[in-house]
Amino acid sequence: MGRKAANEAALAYSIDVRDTRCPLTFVHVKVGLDAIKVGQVLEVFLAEGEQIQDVPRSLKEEGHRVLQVRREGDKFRLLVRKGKR
Amino acid sequence: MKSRQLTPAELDRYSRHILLPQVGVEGQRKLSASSALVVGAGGLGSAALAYLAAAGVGRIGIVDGDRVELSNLNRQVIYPLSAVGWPKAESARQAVEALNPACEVTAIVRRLTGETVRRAVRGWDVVLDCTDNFPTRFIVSDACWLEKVALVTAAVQGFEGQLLTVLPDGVSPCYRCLIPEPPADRFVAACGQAGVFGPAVGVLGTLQAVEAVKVLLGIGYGFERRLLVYDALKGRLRILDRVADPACALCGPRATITDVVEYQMTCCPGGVCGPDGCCKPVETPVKSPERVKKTAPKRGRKGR
Repeated sequence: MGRKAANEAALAYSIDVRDTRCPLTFVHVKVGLDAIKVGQVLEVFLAEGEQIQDVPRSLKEEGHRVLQVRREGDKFRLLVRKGKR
Repeated sequence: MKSRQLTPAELDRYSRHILLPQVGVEGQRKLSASSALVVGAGGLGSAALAYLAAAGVGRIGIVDGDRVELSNLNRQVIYPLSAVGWPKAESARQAVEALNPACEVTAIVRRLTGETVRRAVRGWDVVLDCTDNFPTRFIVSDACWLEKVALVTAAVQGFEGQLLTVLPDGVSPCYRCLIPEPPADRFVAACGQAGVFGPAVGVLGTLQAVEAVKVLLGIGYGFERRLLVYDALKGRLRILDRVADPACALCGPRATITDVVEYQMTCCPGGVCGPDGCCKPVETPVKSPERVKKTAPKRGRKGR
């Protein structure tokens, strides 16, 4: 599910969680965050509906910084900077 | 503790823990790489073992020299009726493995003694004292302190139970700071007072698992400076502060105890407990459990 985003220097890791269901979606996002260091950026591809509604909010609640949410066709590309906790 | 990647099935299985910010992926990996020794697979041990296994603690040790008896089943909830007559540690191992095959379980079918206890507790990340008698409680507590192993101890009698944690941090009070010596026999419950309220034992055993998992994760606020007292009948929960006793013989500045101190156990009328169990050594059944059940020795007071 995850791949090293080597071509984009700012991105430390990238995951696509569109085939997962809540709350396992967020577990996979956490696995993605676990793979990077504090201050690094994770790219997450999310589906419309529940995923795009819930994931950014949960990330903020856990102390991470959502840098960008952009629609790309039928999916969303979210960039999050890993927080301290 | 060595961490490894979690499999997709593990992510799913432990998802409700991983979702907790205080646990997370790292915490779950830590649990998978950690170990807990449960001394006593009775009522406290039953509840504690089930939750330790469910939480995904990587290595679990179970020590008990007794066999499952019919009278245990009001509180020792991991044993099916068919386990009656079989060694508890072995039956408990099967129960834990059925709950979570990822747990590596070691069953020790013997009672710990002053000679064996230090080696038994050495190297575990946490020990849960789920025993039902003072002599074992004291050797386990001494051994954990001397071997610098975290200890979560609990006891239940009747409707009332208590729990405390001892951390080997050189600052927290030890078990002997609260109870310096085992109480005299006349203060210990006699056979007629061996009644114990099953669900209350489950509460305390579950609390032991709560505190042990917190110790393993290094999260929250524990009972290393407090004592929890639960009265199931009155529906009352009290939390008392504990301080280190400067005159404590085990952890005080002038400590005199340098090795475990063994006390004699007199739990059977006119009998003294042997090293392998209560009055009679435990043997592994060779044929059917029914045969063992019929020939199993009558035992005296049973507590937790």
